[in-house]
Amino acid sequence: MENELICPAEITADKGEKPAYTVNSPYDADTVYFEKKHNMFPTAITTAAVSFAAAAASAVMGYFLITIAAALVFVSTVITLLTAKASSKRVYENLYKDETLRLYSFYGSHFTAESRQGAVYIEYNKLKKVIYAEKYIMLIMPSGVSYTIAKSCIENASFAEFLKGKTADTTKG
Amino acid sequence: MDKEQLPKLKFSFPGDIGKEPLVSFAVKCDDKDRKQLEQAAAFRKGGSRIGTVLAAALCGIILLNIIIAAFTSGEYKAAAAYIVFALLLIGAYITPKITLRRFTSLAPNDSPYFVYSFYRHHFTLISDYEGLSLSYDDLSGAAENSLGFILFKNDGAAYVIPKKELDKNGLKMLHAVLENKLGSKFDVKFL
Repeated sequence: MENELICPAEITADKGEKPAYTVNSPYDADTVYFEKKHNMFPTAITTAAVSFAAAAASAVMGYFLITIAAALVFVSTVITLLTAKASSKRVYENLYKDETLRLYSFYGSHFTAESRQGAVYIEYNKLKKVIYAEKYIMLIMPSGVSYTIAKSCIENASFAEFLKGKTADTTKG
Repeated sequence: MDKEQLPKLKFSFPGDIGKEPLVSFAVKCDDKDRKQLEQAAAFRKGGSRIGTVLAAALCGIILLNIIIAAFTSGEYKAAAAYIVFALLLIGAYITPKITLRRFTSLAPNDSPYFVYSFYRHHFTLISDYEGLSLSYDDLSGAAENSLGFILFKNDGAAYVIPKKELDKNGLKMLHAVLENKLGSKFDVKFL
């Protein structure tokens, strides 16, 4: 039963159209970690670097109050980075445990994603960016909403080419 | 927004056919409403923004005084150090907003319509690109202020319902449903 997807929504806009590709992708702790890594790490690493530089510079100049403040920022950012994997697991356990699977269907002009909570219908030209990482493909909307597909679940080798062709004009990824 | 004005909806909920919602309405959400949503989401509850802005302004004035005092007394190193400190504080102040823009699923930004139906045990939302059926447990909270309602989903997504789009009865029913279903998770603040 774990892999059975019960989507409460019916996509009426798709009536009669057959998808070119479908992908059943798990939504698990690793997926949450990948999304978190992509969204949070650049800002966190910059913050850590700036606060470390500020702490070091103020220590050299002898302004220890600022050193303490900057060091606190640095330590908390490093802790956030080091515990990102564990916190992703907690986020998954708390929020998405019932949502083990997402079904993606790719059509000529749009794609749909179905989950336990409902469905989305997105035209390719609405996407802001597509990221092709080692293990995942991430489709990102201008609002920041992202849809992550595990590459291991893609059965058809021509899928990546199809997606690249559909999103080439509109994405920066 | 009249339901007659809506285009053909892209989603339906077969499980809800025959069920009568407690309250159902369609709303539009323009740039101003989205701004309100963004601010409310950044500061988690509608209404607490003024306090945060005042605190930041006060902090800024104090730091500016320290920097000016350091400069005028010839302590340039101290002034530079406090400028760096001020930059760190500005970073801390704007980080939630930047993070939210990148990380939060701020809801369906450019949809021309949102159709909400609130039932006894769940509610549904249909927009131009998503159709969701959510349990009230899927909400981490909701806020009401003088301009509208904001629903916060457990995963960080937020949805705004502008009051100007609702009639008197719809407003009353929505308030009652959220109060009844969310209890202490429903925060009402009027400015």
